[in-house]
Amino acid sequence: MILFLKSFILAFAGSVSPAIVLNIEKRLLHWAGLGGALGYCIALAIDPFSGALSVAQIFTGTVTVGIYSELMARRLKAPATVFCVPGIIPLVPGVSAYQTMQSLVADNLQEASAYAVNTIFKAFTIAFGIMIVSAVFRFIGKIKIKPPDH
Amino acid sequence: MEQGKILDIAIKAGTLLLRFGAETYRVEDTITRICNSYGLTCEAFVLPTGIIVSVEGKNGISSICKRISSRTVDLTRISYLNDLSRKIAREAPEYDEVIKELNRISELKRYSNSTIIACCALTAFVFVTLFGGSFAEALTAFFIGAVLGLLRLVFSKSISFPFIEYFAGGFVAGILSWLINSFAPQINPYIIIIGAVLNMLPGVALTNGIRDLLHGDIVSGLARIGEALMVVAVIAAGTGIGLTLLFLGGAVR
Repeated sequence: MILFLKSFILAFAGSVSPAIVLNIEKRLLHWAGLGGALGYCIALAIDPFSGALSVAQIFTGTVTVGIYSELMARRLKAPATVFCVPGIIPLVPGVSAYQTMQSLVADNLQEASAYAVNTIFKAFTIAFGIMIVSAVFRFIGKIKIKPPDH
Repeated sequence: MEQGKILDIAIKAGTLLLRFGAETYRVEDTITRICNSYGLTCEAFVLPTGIIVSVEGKNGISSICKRISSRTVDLTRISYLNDLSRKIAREAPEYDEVIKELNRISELKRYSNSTIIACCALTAFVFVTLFGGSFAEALTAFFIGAVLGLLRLVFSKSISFPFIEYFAGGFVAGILSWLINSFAPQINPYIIIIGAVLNMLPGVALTNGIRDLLHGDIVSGLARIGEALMVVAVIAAGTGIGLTLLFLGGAVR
């Protein structure tokens, strides 16, 4: 429980502070932070004691962030990007990137390439997760009956 | 309203959107929606580096082409421009009113410099902790993150050439963390480098690229993904060159 509380706070700060650097509106600041914290905690809930987030964890987290931002975009009348971009930042595969760098400098090329592939794989998992959610929401949006005045 | 004025509004709104990091389809959509709401048929072709719009109305066909040289990310402005384009589609307001609103949006204040530096530092602190670093490592990252935030502001004021700020960021992060490591060996330099450069990672370019691809804008999508990969490569090169110089100079062994 304490682990989750700590991760929640860290992930919240970890999406709010990049969001400020990207100049987010003040009224949306805490919503963006909440999305990031939610995504990270759900990713963590799958396997709480793993050192680095696995691909499956990152995928679940990203889908959570994606759904959250599409829903919030409709609720708060802002583009989904505003919630999505800060939200995925806590899921960035930093640990894999750091392992890559460490083994690269230690001249252990075999290990380094394994970690590098892992990092790239995770980065594309994030992009792919966002893509799936956005595709599904576009699909749902097309089914809905358009208002007659447009 | 005259055709020229409508085109002016559309291209101004489109330029602002593209400059502040909106997806390609959103820019095209906005331009088309603005022109349509004033009764013009319109085709817009948008790339990450420029916009071409051609409209057809009572006065014949006119077109306009606009190059975009620099792109940043500004979530506030995107959101306001989105509101404005909805308003134009709904009410078709007068030219002066729209121009006033566009000027207001382009002159919106950003967060203050000290807030941005503090946030860069806080990001580095938070992510080193999330990645499993100790408190001492997180504090070191906080300091380096602040330095990188300062660099970011310096480079955003003087536009030299693209990607230089990423190279400089990686370079400084690499050198500083290794220097600190040579005084305090218990501090792991790699985790600090990753935490500190996390601010510069091209998350927006990557997700926008993927979204563009999804909407069928293949050229812009690939261009944005290429930009994102280039940024990552430049950060890595900066860090690598910094480390190599340190090892060569014998400051660290």
